[in-house]
Amino acid sequence: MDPENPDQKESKQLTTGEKSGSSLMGKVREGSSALKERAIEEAKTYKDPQDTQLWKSIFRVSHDRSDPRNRSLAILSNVFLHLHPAKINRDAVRYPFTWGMGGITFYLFIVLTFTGVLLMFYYHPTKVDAFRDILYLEHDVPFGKLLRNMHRGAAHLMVITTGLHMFRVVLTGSYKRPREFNWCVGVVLLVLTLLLSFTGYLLPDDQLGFWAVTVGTNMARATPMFGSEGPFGAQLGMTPYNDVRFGLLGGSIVDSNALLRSYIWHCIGIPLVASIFMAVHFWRIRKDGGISGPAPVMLESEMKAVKKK
Amino acid sequence: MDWHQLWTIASAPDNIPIVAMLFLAPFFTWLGIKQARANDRLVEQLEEDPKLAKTHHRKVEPWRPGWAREIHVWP
Repeated sequence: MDPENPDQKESKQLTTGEKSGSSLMGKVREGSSALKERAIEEAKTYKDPQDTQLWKSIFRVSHDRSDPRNRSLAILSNVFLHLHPAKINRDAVRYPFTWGMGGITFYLFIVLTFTGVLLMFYYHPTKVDAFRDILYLEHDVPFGKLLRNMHRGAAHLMVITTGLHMFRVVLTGSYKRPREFNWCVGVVLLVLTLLLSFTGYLLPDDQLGFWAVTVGTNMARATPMFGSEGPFGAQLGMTPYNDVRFGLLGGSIVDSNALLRSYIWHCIGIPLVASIFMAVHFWRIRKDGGISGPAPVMLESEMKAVKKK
Repeated sequence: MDWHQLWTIASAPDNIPIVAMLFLAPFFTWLGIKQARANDRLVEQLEEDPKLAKTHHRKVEPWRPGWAREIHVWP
């Protein structure tokens, strides 16, 4: 409370005046001045972004190098040295609570990486070879059909388990404080999973993949500002030969450049970015207090009792 | 109805995830609602009986006596 604030004096005067009759106006004025005070206090907080909850949800400690304790934190918070906790709360890893979906998704990613590397031995991302390589894998390579179907099945399943993992997180409220940042990392991982699925669809170079990518990239034409047919696209000089669709396909049609770009994004670009985000995701689970366990139920009657105090 | 046609469509490799979702989505929705309702029932039970609220293990699936609460995993 600022003693020199004229609004407060005014509100005090009005509070006394309230007794003499104008109670409603007095209450309104009092309420507005209290709101103003709160806004000023919050604005002061936002002057220093490091004091905000948003900042603290992303960076958990200050990184002042002069403090020796912070230097030791570099070791203590190292993800590779501390990927697994020493002890875990048994309650939090029960399948009825977690459904095991996050773990299954990660194991599917490992299966996809392993089978994907083996598939790369037999695949050439060119228009001449791509579909022939798939036929060769299906009919001539020992266990080739199994290898390809493991990769395809795991990819489909990974999209499903990622969705179910998010569903569980919503139902158990595990996205709430202090896990807001990790929820956002999870959303990025969902998008990356969908992009991996989409880029992998074109690689067999069959009709299914060709038309899926044709439809998908045609939708990119309508991107606001970056698509030639999207809002403000034409005004910003976007044409079918320089817009986002052109960038995705490496040309104006789904052809050899699109196949090569899909291959590079699918095998190198997106898995690399996804691995980094996954490391952050797992590290944050530990730093946010482990897997969110089933909390004891809150009773409304007790909450009211706390408020009265 | 030609069941063979239905099987041909349902077993096509690219339709398998859709068929899987037909079972998985309703199952996990049912499981989620079941767990949420169990939680609500426990809240009602504890609200009605304040003595129970003081003593009861306040989770839907209470930890049984004698069970270790933590698992030592590393190192």
